[in-house]
Amino acid sequence: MQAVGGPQTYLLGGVFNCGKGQPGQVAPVSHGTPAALFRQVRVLNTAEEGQG
Amino acid sequence: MGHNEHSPSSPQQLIEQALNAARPGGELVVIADEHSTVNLRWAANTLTTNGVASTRSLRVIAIDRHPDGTCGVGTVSRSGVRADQVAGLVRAAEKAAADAAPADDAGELVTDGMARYGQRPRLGAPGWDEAAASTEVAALRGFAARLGETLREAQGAGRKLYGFAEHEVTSTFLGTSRGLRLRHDQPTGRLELNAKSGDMTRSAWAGAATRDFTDVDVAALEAGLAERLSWQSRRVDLPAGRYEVLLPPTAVADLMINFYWEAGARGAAEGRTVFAAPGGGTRVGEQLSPLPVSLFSDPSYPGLECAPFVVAHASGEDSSVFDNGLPSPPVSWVADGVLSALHSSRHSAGLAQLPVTPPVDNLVLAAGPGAGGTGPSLAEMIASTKRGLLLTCLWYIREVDPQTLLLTGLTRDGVYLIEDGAVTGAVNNFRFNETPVGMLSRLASVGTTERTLPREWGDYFTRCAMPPLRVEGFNMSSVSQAS
Repeated sequence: MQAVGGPQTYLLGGVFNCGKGQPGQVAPVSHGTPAALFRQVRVLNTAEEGQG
Repeated sequence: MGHNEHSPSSPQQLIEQALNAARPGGELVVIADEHSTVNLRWAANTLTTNGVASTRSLRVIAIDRHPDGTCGVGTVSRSGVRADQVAGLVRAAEKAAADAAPADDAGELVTDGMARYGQRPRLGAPGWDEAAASTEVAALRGFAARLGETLREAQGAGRKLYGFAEHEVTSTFLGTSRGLRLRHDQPTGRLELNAKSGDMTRSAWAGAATRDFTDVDVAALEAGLAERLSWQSRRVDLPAGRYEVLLPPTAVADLMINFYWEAGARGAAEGRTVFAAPGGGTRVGEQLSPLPVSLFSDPSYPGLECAPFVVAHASGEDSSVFDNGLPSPPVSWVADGVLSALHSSRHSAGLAQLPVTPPVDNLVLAAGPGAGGTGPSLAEMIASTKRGLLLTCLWYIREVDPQTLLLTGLTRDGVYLIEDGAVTGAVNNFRFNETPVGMLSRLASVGTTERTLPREWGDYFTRCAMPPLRVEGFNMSSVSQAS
């Protein structure tokens, strides 16, 4: 991670139906994060990996 | 006990009440689900918790037909509905239907399901008027007694057992304005068992799917886990790469469920999935495997029995509320290695110009012509392996690319090195990038089909019978530090 964005980049995302546990349970979850800059990220060529 | 204003209405009564509350000329599909579940949990050789729960829900799907032939669909569901709330539920669904954009899967409701199956879809199955089925603590009583013995034996041998057992029953009642009345009782049971060495450095997993727990041999499962823990006395570190692997039935199930979920007619016809043909159309008719394997679903498959008609709570790519009650007969998805069908609603089958083949809630992979399903055992496949990896199960499987059906996931609870026909040690975990379609083209051998519990998808799909597979060039893309 090279840089973290300011408060103006912060976004709270989430879903209402995260399922977990035994017995299965459903609950809303959320996760907030700012934008960030990463370097040296490994990128997958899905077309190549998916060949046979 | 007679019905009175204070006792809850039966699901059948609620359905008739809803259908009678439809506005004049209005069409409804009404689905009542009665669900009950019991469970048992244990940790470090001790029973820790148990639970019992039941729920009931009523779903009203209203169809608002317009003079131009289009129609809107409105759906409202509610749990624990009382008789005096039913009319309100119907009004809400009709309002939603009137406000809805035209449904692209609009069609006539099914009228011939009853004629084909009568009110008893299967010999001995309960009729429409009989009470909803349910499960109770007694369903796990015999199993719990056998489990207790196994926990004591594990304690004596210095192993620790952890796990969870669950039995549930859903009675589904389906009624429509076109006179359809169908019901299906679905028992579903599963067991997950994890064994650890006394010092907690070794771990092994086994699972089982069942209808009633009478056929679960927990002592045999634990014996298998003890053998796997013993294999972990020697540790071997191996790098990422393509390996010959033996996949046990549970791992095969997880990969083939992804195959099945993606094998819909609409996505293929629209060019979005691995089952789309280059230049248009679908790959139905194409050879996917050099071996004559069969992948099929059959509502009457012994031990995997499921509903023989469509129950669609909502419309989707290859499901349609208009198809509720449509027979869903046995179907081969892959026959003798050739892609032979894609699952569909009547609407999506029309788009794809393929026969209507509703999905069925079970899945079987079998070797040989006519799905004979016999082949070597996993032990025999190990004995005939020069060098390869034996996996236990796959975990956190996610789709990377629908156009190749490339999946990624992790190995878990045991990867073993096989050399010259014997297991010689435990290997680190891997992340894999694999496509089950490509995997079928690299099948080297297929073992005997048996019922199994998929570990990753067992929360959603338990009714599977799969063989162990030998696959060449299985792509372990990186080493996972998880242990």
